[in-house]
Amino acid sequence: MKKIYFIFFFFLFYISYSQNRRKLDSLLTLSKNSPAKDTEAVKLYNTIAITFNKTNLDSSKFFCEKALVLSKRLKFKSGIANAYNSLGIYFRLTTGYDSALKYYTLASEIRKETGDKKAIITSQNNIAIIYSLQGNYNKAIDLHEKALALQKTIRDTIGAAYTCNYLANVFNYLADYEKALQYYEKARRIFEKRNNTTGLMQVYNNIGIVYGFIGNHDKAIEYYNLSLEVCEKTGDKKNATAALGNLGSAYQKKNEIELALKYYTQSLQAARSIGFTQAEAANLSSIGTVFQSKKDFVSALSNFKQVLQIHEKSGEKREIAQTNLRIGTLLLEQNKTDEAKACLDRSAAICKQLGVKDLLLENYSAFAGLYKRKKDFKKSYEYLGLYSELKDSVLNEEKSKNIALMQTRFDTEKKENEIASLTKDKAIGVLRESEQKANIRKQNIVLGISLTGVLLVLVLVFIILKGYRDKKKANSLLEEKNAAILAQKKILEEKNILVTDSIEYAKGIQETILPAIEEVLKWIPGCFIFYKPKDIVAGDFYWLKVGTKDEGRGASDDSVFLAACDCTGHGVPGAFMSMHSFYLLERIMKEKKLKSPAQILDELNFQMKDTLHQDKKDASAKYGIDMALIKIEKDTIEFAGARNALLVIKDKELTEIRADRIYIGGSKEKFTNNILQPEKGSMLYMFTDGYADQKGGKKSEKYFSTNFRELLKEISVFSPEEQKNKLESAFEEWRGSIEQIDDVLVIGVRI
Amino acid sequence: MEPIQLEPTTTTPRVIIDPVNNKFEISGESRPENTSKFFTPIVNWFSEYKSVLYYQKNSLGSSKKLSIDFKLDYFNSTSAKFILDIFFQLEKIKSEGYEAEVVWHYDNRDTDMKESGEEFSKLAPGVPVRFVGF
Repeated sequence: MKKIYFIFFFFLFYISYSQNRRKLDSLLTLSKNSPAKDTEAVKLYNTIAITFNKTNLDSSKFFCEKALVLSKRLKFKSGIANAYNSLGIYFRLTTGYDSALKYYTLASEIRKETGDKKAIITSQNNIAIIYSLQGNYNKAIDLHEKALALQKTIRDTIGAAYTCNYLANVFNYLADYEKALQYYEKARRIFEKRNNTTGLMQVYNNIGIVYGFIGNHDKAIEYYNLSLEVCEKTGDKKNATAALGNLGSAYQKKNEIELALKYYTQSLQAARSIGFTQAEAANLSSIGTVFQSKKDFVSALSNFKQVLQIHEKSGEKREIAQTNLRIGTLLLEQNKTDEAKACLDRSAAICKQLGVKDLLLENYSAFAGLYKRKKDFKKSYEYLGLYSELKDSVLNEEKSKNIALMQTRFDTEKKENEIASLTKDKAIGVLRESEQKANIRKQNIVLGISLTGVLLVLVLVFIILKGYRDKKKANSLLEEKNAAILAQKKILEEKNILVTDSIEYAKGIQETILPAIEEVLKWIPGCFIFYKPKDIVAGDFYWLKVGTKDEGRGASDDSVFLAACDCTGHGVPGAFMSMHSFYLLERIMKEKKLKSPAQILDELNFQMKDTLHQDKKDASAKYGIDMALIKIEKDTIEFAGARNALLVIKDKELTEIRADRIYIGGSKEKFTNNILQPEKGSMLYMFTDGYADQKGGKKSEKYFSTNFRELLKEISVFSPEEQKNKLESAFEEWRGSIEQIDDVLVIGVRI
Repeated sequence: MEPIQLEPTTTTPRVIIDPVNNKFEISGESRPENTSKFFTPIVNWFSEYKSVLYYQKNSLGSSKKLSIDFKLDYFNSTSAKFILDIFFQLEKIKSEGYEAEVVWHYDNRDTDMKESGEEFSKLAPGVPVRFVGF
């Protein structure tokens, strides 16, 4: 599949190249003949820069910078923008995507100021292409779509078609072939309507490629043929080479080998007739693989050797390495181990020189196979070792990139040192010659010895000095870094204090919603509350509401509501939710005067959805509250639970009143109201999940609900105050040095 | 589609999303500081994976079965909502005709964890859930 792209891209490169040569020559003459330093000169430099983009990148950059300097001096805005844009192209082509993004953005900002819509669109598309190359596909799609919308407002239909083509490319990367096809089709319709043959050739070809991807080779062939037709009509032999090559590849995929050969050969001939060597090599290589699959090793070999010749002529090292690898593997299949080894050695040498890891990896694997055939298992094993080692390093690409960078630095330093010592050697030679001329042998010897001595000392001094300087440099660098780190640390510490201070203050606010324990005990005498937030502020809270007679309806005088609540999250986000839930509960009690716990939970559920807008489509309830709520009225207990149960323990016998598995703030169901009359002396427990979920013990695992229940049974016979202490010490003992995971809340009530 | 490989931390689970070897796993402890930031890319990944399944089905003849292993020992309530979102994504994938399932692993002593799995399964009935105690 890669091959298809390969031919296609090479091909476009070629067309521009031949047309450019002539254009470039005339432009360069023009720039030499007009020494003026005006906006026209800027325009000329920019045009030259763009033209050079396709042939000589360094020259392109040179002219970009020339244009930039002059246009800045002239404050010629569109000139500056164009120069930035060309620099962006330069960095894109040299894969410096971050820099490319920077320059494209600079260009785009200036163009927004000047309001040149066509230029703005170009910038948007350029930036989007970088995003797409960086794998930032959503942003790429976003920007292309913006460009498309803008093109519609200025009725730039052909431009829109090209943008559709770009968009389709992005979807192609994303393997969203449906969408890719949709956009290619859009582009196709426009190109067909306007009879834009250049666009049509491309878009037909691209549609063919997508169909190839999704395995519909018949359709792919149909489109490559369409592309070919346009090429033939316009007499465009170069694009025809691509279409023919892609046809060959499609037939090869369909296993129609003879047809594949026919098209590859046609493409080859077309490439040769116009001297398009890259395409020639690609086709020869494809034909070689066809022969290889037919086990016709002699023909395959002859093809690969031709490929090798072409690449050796053009000096494309990577290709040379790849072809040598291919030939080596081929020879290996024929058991010609010695010849194979020679090829693999050549390939390996180049790979190592260029640092091409993917090829080298294949190379090692081939070597391992070679030595296995030669029954030299030790070497085979060694190569397997090298293979897996390299594979690891390829995986750690980030790391190896840094190492490569350091290596280059080290090498250049070494070279500099070598040059320095060479110059010195030369100097010594000159000195010696002049001494010989004086013909004073003795002196000469003495001088020679002393010179060597001096030189040795000099070298020593040089080495020491250099070492010292390097060290000093490194030290001062370290110091600088240290200072920077310290400064940052100080800022962080200050910020931390500020944040902690404000959270401490927030704690005060949150505490206002928690009733004082004395207040709770006043209404529910046999009660304890074990409350242990994870952070300063918490998502767990408990709530007390006392019924009042004078408000008429609603709770009667003797009834008390008590709840254990657990809001999603802990810390600051949890605290926000707890304040919000508290406010809603208070409001419900004040306005609705509801009588049963289930009614209160139903209303809370409704208002939570309403206030957090969670009833809207798509918002699948990310914020909510779990709670257990009881109403105590004389001997009768009413209970409703949102995912948190009520436990009743009497004489160490445990009864669970299960909660409804309803998400408050999410579900539409109604809560169940449970009415019970527990025996005198029973303990009621309400709690959040923090206790049972706490990690600890020897194996650092959860406490688990079952253990928590056992613990409650054990302690239920003690007084509420003792129970609280026992819960606390059991918790701390379990937790040990492990941090608290969530807020913890356990409420016990003795009936 | 790029694979996602996240090593576990004290607050985030191990995540393996490896379409090449068809291995999907979320295991360990989940209580990220910013749950949305942690889970959104994962949920989106499954949403986008449909195009790959489409490709597999249409060009390779059949799509690979998508089976995700949840092997969590703790998750907080905010994580729960996102785990449910992943269930919903699989439900959607299943409804479009591809094979998908959830394997819910739980410690035999951890009744809460088993119940959570059952609850998710009830909320997303369209995707089959296999329960495996260990």
